[in-house]
Amino acid sequence: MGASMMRMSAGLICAGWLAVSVAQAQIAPLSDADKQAMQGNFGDIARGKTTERDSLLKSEAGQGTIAGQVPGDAGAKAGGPPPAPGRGPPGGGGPGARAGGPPPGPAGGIQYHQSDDPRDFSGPWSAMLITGTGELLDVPSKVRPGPQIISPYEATRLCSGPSGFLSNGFNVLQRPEQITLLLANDFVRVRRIAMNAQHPAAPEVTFAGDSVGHWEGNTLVVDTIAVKGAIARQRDPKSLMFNHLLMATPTLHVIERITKLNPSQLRIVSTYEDPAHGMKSYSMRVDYRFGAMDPELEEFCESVGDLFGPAYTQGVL
Amino acid sequence: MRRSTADSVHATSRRSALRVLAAMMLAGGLAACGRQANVPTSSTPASSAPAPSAAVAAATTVPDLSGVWRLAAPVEKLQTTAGGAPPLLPAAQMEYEKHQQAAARGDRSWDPVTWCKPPGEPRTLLQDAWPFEIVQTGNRVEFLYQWNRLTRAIPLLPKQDTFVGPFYFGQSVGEWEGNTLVVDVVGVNGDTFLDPSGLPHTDDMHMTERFQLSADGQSLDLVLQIEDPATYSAPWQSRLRFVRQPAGSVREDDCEVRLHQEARYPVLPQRLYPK
Repeated sequence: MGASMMRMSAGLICAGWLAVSVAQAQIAPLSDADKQAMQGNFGDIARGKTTERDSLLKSEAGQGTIAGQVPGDAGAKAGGPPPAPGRGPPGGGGPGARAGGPPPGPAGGIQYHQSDDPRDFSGPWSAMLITGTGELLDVPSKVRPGPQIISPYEATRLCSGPSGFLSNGFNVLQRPEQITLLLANDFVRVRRIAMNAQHPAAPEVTFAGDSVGHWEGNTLVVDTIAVKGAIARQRDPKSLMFNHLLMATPTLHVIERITKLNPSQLRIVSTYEDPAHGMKSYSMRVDYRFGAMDPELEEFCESVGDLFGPAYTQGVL
Repeated sequence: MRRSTADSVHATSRRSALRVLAAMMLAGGLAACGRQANVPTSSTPASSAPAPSAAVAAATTVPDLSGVWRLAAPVEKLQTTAGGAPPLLPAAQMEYEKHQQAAARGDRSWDPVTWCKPPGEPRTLLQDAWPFEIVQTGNRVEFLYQWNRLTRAIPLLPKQDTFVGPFYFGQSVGEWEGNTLVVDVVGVNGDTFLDPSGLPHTDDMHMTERFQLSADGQSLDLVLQIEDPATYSAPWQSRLRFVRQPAGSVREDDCEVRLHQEARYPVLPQRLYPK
């Protein structure tokens, strides 16, 4: 494969990833035709993921079990040698595990439990929007471009930002002074919400933004500024690619209201305001259900380097 | 560390699989491609108090390692607690020296970190001597690294008898022994290295980490034990010290953006990314 083709392939991989993450953000619901196209293209992968997720979500009493943790890229070394002696019987599985062992089972996995505390969001939450329950509440009909605050290369990472906030799932680590969201996307990855704090006078503009939170009743209200990224995207029905509809500007203000509807359901209503776009109350609502997210590929974009080796990094392809 | 023909075949298969995956993505977009889900946290008992959470309350009986930490001094190469070199076996020593010689020529093509692959454990603790945050709840200790925003979960569980992996950060479980957090790690991806100098290990490495907070809470000591009979002639230990940093001092790092800014990544075709 020629050098230019290789580079283009790499770009397309990331571009495809962008498109995927946006699809998960449910800015625009996928049409049936789109879904069929994706299933047709990625049926095997999708089936594997679905099976894994479903097995987790169907575990008894609202508890889930996952037999691994952050897998290596594309997991790990499928088909590898059997587990070393002395490490106990292989009981785990998952995408990162060595193939050949028994399927994942509850034994030896990490147990987690739902809490009845309406203010305790700890644990893993999976986006129900994947099954089509996401809902757009209001979309401005006309917007105007705002000033760009990111570099063109950073624009290739635009699954970050507010639209990336609503990833396909996240894990909540809850402490009084900080609520940490570990996101199931590869762009923001970590969001820190400083509780009962004020924004710094001059926060650094980042993909995650600067977030502070407080409780209003049993609703966690998260206020985020200093975000770089895309607010929303449009899907081109011809290319199936996403165009950036709105870019974050220095005046973007995001408010998320997070409420636990019941022990197994979390609702996030996000509102985006950006005077630079003349935009008010662009909102969306996404429900999440308690349970493990898809054990997915890790670091795929970085794994482009694995595809092409160090030559990719050095730009000599 | 690639150890055998079988592993080479393995790696080839994996790359082939990735190529297939890439081709599939080119066709139209993968349904769910993103970062792997994080390890599910374990329970947080129901609580009538609004906040703090019960998970935090449960953690008050043991030291709270939460906060931002950073190496007291940069570490390029791990040493034993006696100050010597780790006892590499001859074959591993040969590979290590080969990497050292390449690095001396400015060639780090053997090092996947140069194209943003996760450094693995314990190397991520050392990488660029950048800070990391520890978030501790009653049932889990999470490392939030600045380096490429990587995270590592240590569930506080009894030692598992289930072996899965390998993973970049391995499979970790932690337990408190008095005031010491003891972490048992297996299944660390053998393609990673123990330190920036390229100390190798295999997938079968068994690592034990013992974290201990100082009395004043301002420093965190880590004693590592490495057992990897395929690479080292005997188990060995190394000691690291981290010092507390101001809260909020972990910055956001995107490795690919950083490399691009350093002109170490090729410029991707911008026309693929409509403005």
